[in-house]
Amino acid sequence: MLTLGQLFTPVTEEQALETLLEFLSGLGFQATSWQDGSIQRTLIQGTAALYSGITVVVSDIARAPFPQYARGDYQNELGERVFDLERVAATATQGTFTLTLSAAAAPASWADGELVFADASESPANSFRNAGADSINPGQTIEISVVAEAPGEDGNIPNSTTLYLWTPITGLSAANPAPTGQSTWITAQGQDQESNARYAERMTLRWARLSAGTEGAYRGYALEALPALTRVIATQGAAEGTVRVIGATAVGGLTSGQIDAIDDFLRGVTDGQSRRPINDVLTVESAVVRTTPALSLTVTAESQVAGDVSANVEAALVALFGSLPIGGEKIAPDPSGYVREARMYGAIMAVSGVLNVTGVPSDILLGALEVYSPAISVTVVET
Amino acid sequence: MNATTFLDWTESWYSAIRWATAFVGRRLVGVKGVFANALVEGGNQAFYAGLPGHPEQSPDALDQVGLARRLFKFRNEPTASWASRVQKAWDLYEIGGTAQAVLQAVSEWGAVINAAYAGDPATLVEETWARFSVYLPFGFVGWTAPYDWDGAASYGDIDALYNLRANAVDVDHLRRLVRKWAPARSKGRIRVPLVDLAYYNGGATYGDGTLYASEGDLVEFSV
Repeated sequence: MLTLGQLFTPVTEEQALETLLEFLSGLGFQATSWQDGSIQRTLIQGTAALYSGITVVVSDIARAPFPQYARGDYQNELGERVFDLERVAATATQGTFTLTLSAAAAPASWADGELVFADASESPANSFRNAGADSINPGQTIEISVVAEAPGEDGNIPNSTTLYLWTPITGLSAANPAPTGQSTWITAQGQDQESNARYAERMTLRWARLSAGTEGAYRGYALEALPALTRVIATQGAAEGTVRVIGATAVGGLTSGQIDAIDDFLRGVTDGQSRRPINDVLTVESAVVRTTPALSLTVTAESQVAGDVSANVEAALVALFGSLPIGGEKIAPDPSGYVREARMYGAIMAVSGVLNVTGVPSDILLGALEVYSPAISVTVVET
Repeated sequence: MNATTFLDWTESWYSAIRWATAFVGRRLVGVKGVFANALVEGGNQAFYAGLPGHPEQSPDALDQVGLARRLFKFRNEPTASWASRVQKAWDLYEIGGTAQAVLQAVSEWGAVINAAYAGDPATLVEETWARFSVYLPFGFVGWTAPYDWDGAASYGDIDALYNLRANAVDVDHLRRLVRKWAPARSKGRIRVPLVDLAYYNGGATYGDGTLYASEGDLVEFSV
């Protein structure tokens, strides 16, 4: 009987060829003496390639019934046909840019999608198009709606980024400050396509949704409510009959808008279908964002790649912290959760070109409702 | 369901193709047959991997199907029991959030921890404000009283006097089970006597909630 681990691991072409040669040698053939390009060698190499290719298919089929292991189209088919859940598609950032036309320029007008803006003078860049036709007079400043050309989180550029007009109109300049009373120029956050891990979690939580009012059901519905939500717990509150749904995104806590989106979905404001059992006193909250200790790391790196190391180390740590559950990593029966020192070392040392790192703190104990999102500074020492 | 093999295929070559019966040909065809059989075996196993309780399903595949259904295997749980729970996950999920679901889960847990137990089942008492208590009768599963009454770390100390079987991992499983199957809004308690209360109280009714851990004969913890 093959274990799941064996089934999941395809046989490489080299392994298949080695096995074939062993078989044939055992049968009395001078198989290892066959030269590359000879008929015999070519035939068995072809057989090995075919065998290896089929084991890849076998591996994919073996993974297919498991939400947490199915890949690509297999996972999509599993989600759609067994769990009636579609993978959340990537969405484009939408927001408001401010355009100003100099007093000396001629009046300008444009059609829907005619103007292209970007955060760099040339590719690669995050580019945006205007949504809707409009016009501007000399000396005037107007606000226009824009949509990112490529869906995904990369389009969520910071406020007041330097913008370049790729559709040149003399005297016209663009900016993306946060409008008065708003914290960001973005009106709809861009979102990457749902990850395999999150999609799998939604599938497994489909089971829990059969049991209304349980913690699993609340978690499952919360993930349906907000695509950016990646971490969520549901627990009883201090007050009698209270349920607390506490969430976080991959980069930290929830905004008030995100909290409202989850709350509305659970109460049925969004679609008229309430998921809250009678008498449940529901509160939706952000996880507590813990920023201490701040990380100040010194990384020793190979000089050839040192230029990218700082950003890559920071990205690796942000990804690590974003993957940890609310309350940190727990190892039963210890009820306490931690950000493990070993995990931080592992994430940093996995970055290409990193040879050593100092300044990694020891295990960080997190509160039950905390996520860790510290300021990270990386000093790179080249060797 | 029978697995297809390539034995017939190789035999057909031997009978139909003259060179295939010769020294070299027979072995070449045989090797291809061995490879083909290995692939068929892999294909079959890939199919069985997703079928909980199938005789051809590997143990680690069963574990993964259980995880995909948000269930976990109890310590030292026999494969047959684990497979049955995974197969019948629908039934429990459909009544999740009820007292019946909590008691069924606790009963399944107890049957693994102390299979020889044949006494009264666990009971659940609903209390005001979404509170409830799960009472495990004496002998349902024994464990030692922790030295520190507030901590689970010392659960699992061996005490042959009470035929103790549960350790810290089991306690953690029990907490998670009750929490999982109870309504999220509820506050639960698990109450476990360490001695036979009927004997201790001279025949008084067990489960009146008047004895507490501090008195040394009842463990009580929240979930």
